[in-house]
Amino acid sequence: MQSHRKHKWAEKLFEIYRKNRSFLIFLPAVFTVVFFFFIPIIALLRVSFYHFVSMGVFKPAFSFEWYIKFLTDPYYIDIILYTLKIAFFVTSISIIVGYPVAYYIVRSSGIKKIIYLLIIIIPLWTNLIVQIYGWFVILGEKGFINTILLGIGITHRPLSMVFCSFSVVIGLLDVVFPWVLLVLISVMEGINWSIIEAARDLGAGRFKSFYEVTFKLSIPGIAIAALFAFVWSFGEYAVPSLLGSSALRTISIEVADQILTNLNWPFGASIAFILFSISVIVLFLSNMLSQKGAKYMR
Amino acid sequence: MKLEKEKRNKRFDLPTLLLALCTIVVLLYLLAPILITIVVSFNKGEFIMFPPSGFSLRWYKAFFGDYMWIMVFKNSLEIAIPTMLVSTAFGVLAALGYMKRNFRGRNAVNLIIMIPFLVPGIIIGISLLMFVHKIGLAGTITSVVAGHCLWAIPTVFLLVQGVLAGYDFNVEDAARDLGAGPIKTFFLITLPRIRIGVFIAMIFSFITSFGEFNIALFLTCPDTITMPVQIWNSLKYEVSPIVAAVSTVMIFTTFLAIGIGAKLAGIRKIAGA
Repeated sequence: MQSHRKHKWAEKLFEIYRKNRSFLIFLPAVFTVVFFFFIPIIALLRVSFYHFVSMGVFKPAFSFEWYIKFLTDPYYIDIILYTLKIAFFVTSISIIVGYPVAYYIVRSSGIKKIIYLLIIIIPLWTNLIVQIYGWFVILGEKGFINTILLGIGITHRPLSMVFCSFSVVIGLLDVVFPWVLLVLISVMEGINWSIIEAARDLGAGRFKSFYEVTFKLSIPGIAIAALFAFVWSFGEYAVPSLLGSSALRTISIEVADQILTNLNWPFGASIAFILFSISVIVLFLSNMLSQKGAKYMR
Repeated sequence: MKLEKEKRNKRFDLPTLLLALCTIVVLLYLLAPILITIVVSFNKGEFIMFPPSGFSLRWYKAFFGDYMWIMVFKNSLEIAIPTMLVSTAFGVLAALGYMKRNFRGRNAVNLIIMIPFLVPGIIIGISLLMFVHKIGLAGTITSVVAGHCLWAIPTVFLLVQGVLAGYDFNVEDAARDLGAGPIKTFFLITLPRIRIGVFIAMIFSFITSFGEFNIALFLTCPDTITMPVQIWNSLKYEVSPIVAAVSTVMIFTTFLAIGIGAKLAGIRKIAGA
């Protein structure tokens, strides 16, 4: 009797295995992500509720003190607002300038188009730190632009263009532009251009047909590109830490400082978790939009 | 009709001209920091200056003569190559399973694999830093490889999905029906037909790891420090031309990898990827 029961259990287990066997193919990838991403993130969440005793020493607890501190202290509110401002600015510029560029590239053809696309992808291939170094050389006190300006005689003293919000925006745009362009291009490639031709044949003017057809059809793409640009510039660390001034701090710099310099893990973890939640919310929004967009395009 | 007429008059078309101008400015903007870095690296003088005071390879000599930079370069390769191998294997398998059939939980699998790719690197960096301390992997190459895989696996997963979009899975089923096991089918039927895509994915995962900074900053110790982190360290103190040479070496290593891929796959496929 007992053994018969066991046998049945084994059979049931085997049945479950047989039905879900095809999921084994995902096991290595999913296991890696769960083990090295989700578990660490949950551990981080746990630490964010701890008490801070002294540098590197914490007491297990369950308090929201660090969250409350970060979201109510005026010093940190300034940091949040500054980060939002920069991310908003970068997102707007990248969309306003990126849209016409993507439009032009989509309408071009042949070898020209391939070259344009290659130039967009090259910055994605080169690493960010190298690009930041390049901006130092271009914007620095003895850099490219200042040499030209001094040479022509427009200014007599070198302009200071690094370690300020301007250089942070320039650097972040460099990060964000390729992605924004690729998203916009892929969305516009999906537009059926014969609709425009039809609009034109039916008497719509050039700008009207652009606005009514092309622009309206690419709104979901614009939204997704904007959300990506926002998440990217909001959480980026390398650019503001190198090109920014030490007085104007962003959220990610605060996270790194709390953890690497102050060794205040609970505080750093809480800020990091706020940053994480914001990016996840934005990504869910973009996922929703892209599903809506897919329906809209049909 | 009208569109065709306009195409003929394109030369004097103001809006198109403005668009073209805008495009050129943006593309120059994207290329500028890379080109400038390469130019500066061949500078003869002691400082960064324009125009360069002459052509010399002194900064490359300084780079190749500096034990520290060579070690850092070696570290980068020792991290990028295992990342490439592991993430390609895992990512290709996942993409195959994902594209083969529709099943319940398909979206969940996609989301789980893609989420790390879309989360700021600094968050992955600090959460892993704490985690690897707990499991005793702190300061090891393995920990950095694990961190990089979180970005490299989604890269491979996405790219191979694109390759598999036009793939006919019936051939595989036929092989299975004729008696080949799943492993034999994979190596004899599937892999040869998608090998170019797999190869491109390998190169991209290598580049992802080789140039990655945010995760490596937190996970590397002085023994395992990678090139981007070391460049970051030296940028904190001065903008020395040796960094330009180092950066150029990185750029060319990346382009060498891409060149091999382009040669094998045809430039059009990479541009469309």
